[in-house]
Amino acid sequence: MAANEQAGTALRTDPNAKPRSSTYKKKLTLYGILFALPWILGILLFSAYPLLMSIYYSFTTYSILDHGEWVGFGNYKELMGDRTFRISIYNTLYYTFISVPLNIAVGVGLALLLNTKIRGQGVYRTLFFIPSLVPAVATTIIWLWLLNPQFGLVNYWLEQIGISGPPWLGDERWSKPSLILMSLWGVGQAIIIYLAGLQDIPQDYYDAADVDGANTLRKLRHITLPLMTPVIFFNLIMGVIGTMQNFVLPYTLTNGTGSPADSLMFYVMYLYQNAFLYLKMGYASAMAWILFLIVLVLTIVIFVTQKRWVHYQGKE
Amino acid sequence: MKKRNWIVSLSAVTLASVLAVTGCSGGGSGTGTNASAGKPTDAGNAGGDGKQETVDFWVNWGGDFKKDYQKYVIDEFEKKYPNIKVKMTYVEGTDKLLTSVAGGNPPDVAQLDRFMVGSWAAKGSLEDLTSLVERDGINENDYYPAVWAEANYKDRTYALPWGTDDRAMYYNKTLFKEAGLDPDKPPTTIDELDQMADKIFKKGGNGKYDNVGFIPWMSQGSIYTFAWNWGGKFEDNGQLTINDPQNVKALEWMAGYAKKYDIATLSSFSNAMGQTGLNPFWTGKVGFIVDGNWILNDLAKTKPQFEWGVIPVPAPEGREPTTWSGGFSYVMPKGAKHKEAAWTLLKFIAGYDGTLLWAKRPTAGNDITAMPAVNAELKMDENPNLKVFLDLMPTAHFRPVTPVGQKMWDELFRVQDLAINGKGEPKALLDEVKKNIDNELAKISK
Repeated sequence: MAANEQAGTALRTDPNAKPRSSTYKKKLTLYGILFALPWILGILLFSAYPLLMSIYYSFTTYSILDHGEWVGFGNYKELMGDRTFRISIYNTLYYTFISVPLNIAVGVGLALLLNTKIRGQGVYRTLFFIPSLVPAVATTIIWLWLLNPQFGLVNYWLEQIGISGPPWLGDERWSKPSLILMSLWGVGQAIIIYLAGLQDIPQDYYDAADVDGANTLRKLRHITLPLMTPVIFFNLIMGVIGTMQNFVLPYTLTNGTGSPADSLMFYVMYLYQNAFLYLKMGYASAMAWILFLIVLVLTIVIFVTQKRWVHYQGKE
Repeated sequence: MKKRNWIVSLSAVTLASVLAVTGCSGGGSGTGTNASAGKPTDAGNAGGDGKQETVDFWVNWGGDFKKDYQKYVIDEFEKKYPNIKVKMTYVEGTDKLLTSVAGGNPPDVAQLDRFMVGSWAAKGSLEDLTSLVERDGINENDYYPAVWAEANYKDRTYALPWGTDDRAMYYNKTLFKEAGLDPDKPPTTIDELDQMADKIFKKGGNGKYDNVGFIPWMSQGSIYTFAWNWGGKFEDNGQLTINDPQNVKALEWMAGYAKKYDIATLSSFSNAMGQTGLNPFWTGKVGFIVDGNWILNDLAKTKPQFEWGVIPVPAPEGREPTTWSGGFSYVMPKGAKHKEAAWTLLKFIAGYDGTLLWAKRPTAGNDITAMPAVNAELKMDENPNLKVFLDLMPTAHFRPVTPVGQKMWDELFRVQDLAINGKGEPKALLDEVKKNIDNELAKISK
């Protein structure tokens, strides 16, 4: 890009070069497009086309096997009266609104601890990152055992202190909290980003605060946290988008049934069921677009509020 | 601004990729079939009278199935029909089969859960085999009635049945003795079952169950199993009768167990058992369980240290015990290229010869076949446990063959789960399923 502009300005200073300049520019554009072509074709064919078609399909009874009929807003209307659909929205929002803030709190907390200069800092950081290397399904199995109502370690410990543990994933009141607990296991990725954010805060601020006699808590409250907000903001957005599409964990845990009592029926699970089990691809497309709108609204809300709480360095 | 666009489009792309799957695989799966489609002409001169043909055959049973099936059945087929080569491919699940049919490049023969035949036939994704069945005199009486019925949709045949199973009740004689019951007098009615089960329930010190008498929804126990046992039905005169009064009674009875023995404590037990990877019955902590004949195959591995027996699932007083059956089938997907050769293969593998070849393999265990004659030939009823299952087969029920079969199944399990968790009255729940399913059906048949 930079070289490109330089060449442009260099040529522009020479009045005789004008015709040559335009052919040269054309050539550059041509090469540019040519080199980008595989990517452009890819996005048109595999992203743009299915994206547009899914809008169209959401207004039809498309079933993969036949093209179906045009039903206008029929699918959308039907969704409004679909009880499982409403339950899946409730479950998904419940999960998102609790797990995302909790993940941020735990992530930032751990990052702060892992940022303290002690011996073996690298070892601790590695330890906390390791769980996020384990595939989601493997994590699920491990947690199934930890949370096993009768032989599980968690209930064993609870029993040691005199508490009769709940059936965790077997009880509709405890299943979503159990899932949120499991999701915290993958907080290592976020910790890395928070740690990077912490390194980015200039030492000057802390030095100045020391001179003013601020204690650790005040430094945390007035320097560290405000300057971490851009990173928290990023994780918040990505977290919301990710959890709204929560699928692998509940699907493996319940074999796609969302049991007990529909408490683990998440939005994308129901979407998948409609698309590939009931062959209602049109209906599923409509669901996908509603999910897109929900995510869009949530993202916009977060963006609108960012002026109030996100502080970028070097900006007043 | 730039950042926002990026994030918004990122989320859009992620969502779209869920939907994109369909678009891509339709085109991608073509290559395999094209290659084999070219073969007949190449190899045309090789055969004497007929031309050599390759039949594309997809199976979705994993493990050693493909290898074994090739060895015991397909090799024999190719020996008998030297002009036909079978190219067997393992394809997981049914998603790929679906997209290959949609893309117009399906295999010639495929393995399909019989339960799905109705919905696939309704969507026009299976070849109608009726005229071939009539032409070659395939006799439906060679198969069990339930098994044959599942291969037909609206009086047309879309599949040939292959392999079957049914459900009965296992009971733990050792736990019977511990509870002071006579192990040689298993229950014959639901009331007796309830009383005996109650004696076997035993709580440990921590308030959790050490032994359970009976959890009606464990393993193969479900609204389907019990509705039929209570004399209910799911289909009558072409109408789906999901909220039949007897179905409601069965669900109420199931929910009664959840209330009486506390659903949270029962769930603790069943979840804990479920994770052992062992069938709950073989842990020796369960008095009664409804399960299929296939769990007899676990015996060699689990070697239970207790005494047990098999009986038909007890029915309410004055009713004959009954069961229901499922299983697999072989189909010709719509658009199959080599119809005649495919039919020859279908007829062989799902007919007497193919069924027998597969059933007498050394590792066949306690699988029962869809053909009574084969089961008799192999003297399966000499195994007293298996005999209980075999005797129930001729009168076995089957799930309605309907385009909304899968949806109905999922909905019924959903409301069963709601009912036992005390989230709604059985009658209202089944009424709701009936309404939902009828709506679906109305849209499809429109």
